[in-house]
Amino acid sequence: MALINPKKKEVQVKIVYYGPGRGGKTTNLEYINQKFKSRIKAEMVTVKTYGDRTLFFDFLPLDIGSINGYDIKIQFYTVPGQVKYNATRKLVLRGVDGIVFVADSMGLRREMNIRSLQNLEENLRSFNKDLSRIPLVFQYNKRDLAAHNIALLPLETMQQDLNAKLNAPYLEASAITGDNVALTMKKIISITIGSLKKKLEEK
Amino acid sequence: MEFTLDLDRQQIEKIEKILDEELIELGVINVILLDLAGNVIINLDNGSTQHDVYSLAALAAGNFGAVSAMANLIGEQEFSLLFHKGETDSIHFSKVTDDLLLLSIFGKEVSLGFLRLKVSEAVRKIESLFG
Amino acid sequence: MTDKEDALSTALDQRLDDLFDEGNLDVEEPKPSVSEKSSAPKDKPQNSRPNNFKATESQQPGGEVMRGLNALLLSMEWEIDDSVMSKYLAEIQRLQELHKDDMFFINFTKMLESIGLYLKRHKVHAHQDTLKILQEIQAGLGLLVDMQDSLSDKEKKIYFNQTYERFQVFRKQITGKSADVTKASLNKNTELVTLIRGIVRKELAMLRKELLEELRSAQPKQP
Ligand SMILES: Nc1nc2c(ncn2[C@@H]2O[C@H](COP(=O)(O)OP(=O)(O)O)[C@@H](O)[C@H]2O)c(=O)[nH]1
Ligand SMILES: [Mg+2]
Repeated sequence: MALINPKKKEVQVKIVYYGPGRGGKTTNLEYINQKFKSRIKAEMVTVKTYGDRTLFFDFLPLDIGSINGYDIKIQFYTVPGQVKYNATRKLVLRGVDGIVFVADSMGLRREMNIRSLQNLEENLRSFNKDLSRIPLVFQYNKRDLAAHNIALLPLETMQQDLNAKLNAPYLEASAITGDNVALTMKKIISITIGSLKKKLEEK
Repeated sequence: MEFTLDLDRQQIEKIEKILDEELIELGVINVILLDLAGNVIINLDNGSTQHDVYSLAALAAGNFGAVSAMANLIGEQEFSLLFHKGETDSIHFSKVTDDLLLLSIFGKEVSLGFLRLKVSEAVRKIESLFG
Repeated sequence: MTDKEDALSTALDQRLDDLFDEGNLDVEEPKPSVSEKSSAPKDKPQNSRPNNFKATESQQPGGEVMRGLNALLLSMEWEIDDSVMSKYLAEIQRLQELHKDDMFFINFTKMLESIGLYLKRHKVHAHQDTLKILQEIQAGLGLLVDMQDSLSDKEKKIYFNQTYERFQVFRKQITGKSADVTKASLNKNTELVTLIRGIVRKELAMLRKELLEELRSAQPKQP
């Protein structure tokens, strides 16, 4: 649940990039951080282990300025994808307001995507939260690999595997080239803030 | 589980007053009250710092979670003293409630012993605000 | 209601479009370099107090004599509770007993004792400089112990007086502090002030006596 500070007229919103390890979550935030650095004046924080894997999380604060009199600060987190870091994933999911599920389009990652989504649902359930009631965007990442003759999962398969019941907005993207990376972010911000509207107007 | 405290203006002001009187006046550079989701609830400083408090809060919440997990692994409920000592500035963490952490950044002029007294006093006062 | 919601959505969409407009990036000012950020002035208030008196792990005047007391002061830096304060006061008494013939030593430890008692009694409500004063005076005593043999009594007296002045300034600060706090702690503070005053008076009397003795002995003896 977002934190609303009525005194400072400030809203802090937490958005988590979730998904299987090596799927491109960190690359998503790195792209935004690089590309829009001058504009968003943010400083990305990464806690990495040896070999560049996300250990704790990546953190990117984004101040989108004043909307309706409220200063809106978005905090993007990624989780470590590796199975053994589930405690950390739960930690990061605390108080989440919106989720981007970054799925890996590579054919051999099909199972991993499905398992990671199950893991997300389970972890949310341990906080008594229901994935179907949380703002969610699917990003089918690494679509650029098609050009390199690498077998990708067809869009329909991914939709069927992951999004059949949830029916959330989805985008095909390439975190490496930046294709649809900003759009994914815009989408999740937009629906997450939308979900907070009521709360904001009460204050 | 909801992690957000729904504080109103008055409550925030009361807590700010406590933190100001107990800690900033003692010479603490920066006090951040945060929740375990990493949100900054209150941020007070002595006017001479520009810490990136949002990143600090995110990492502090993560760090606290990690250290709690370490405590559990060795059969402890919690470590009562979380403290990082730097060359000039140091950081002290204290749990306020199950969901709230207080982070104090202080320089050499403040002794840890006295800071700890003041922090527990502030925590006691904040707790009494919530009944 | 719906108008309001729409206004919010429109404002938000507009803002996001502006933020994430990838086509328009080259007109932006160059991004600040990393070094610029890290070298930003820290504006930290310089520690104006002389820190050379502070007892630290590395430098502890007073050697073997002061070892116990210094260790207890270090634990106070870490945690101030009844147990450490009682040990501290007990150690002072032990030292006073051992050095009961050394007036300078006794006078120094009396200052430590009164501040120690004050801190034990008031803890979180004690003046925020209490530990610092304790450190200063204790380091002063340590130096005195270290230089025992190389100082004349007169030099020791000057040295003592400097420290004693510092003690008095602190005493005034405590009294000043008590002036604007609640009645309850005012009473406690008056109690303390009386206590300190008692010690101070005794010390002054002692000093006066010694000074007279010294003056007397400095005068040429009349046959
Ligand atoms: N070809 C391609 N590689 C990608 C893409 N996104 C990420 N990668 C690569 O996949 C690897 C893992 O990415 P990373 O962002 O660390 O994944 P994370 O574990 O989800 O954070 C890295 O080597 C990236 O360069 C993409 O869209 N296309
Ligand atoms: Mg990563």
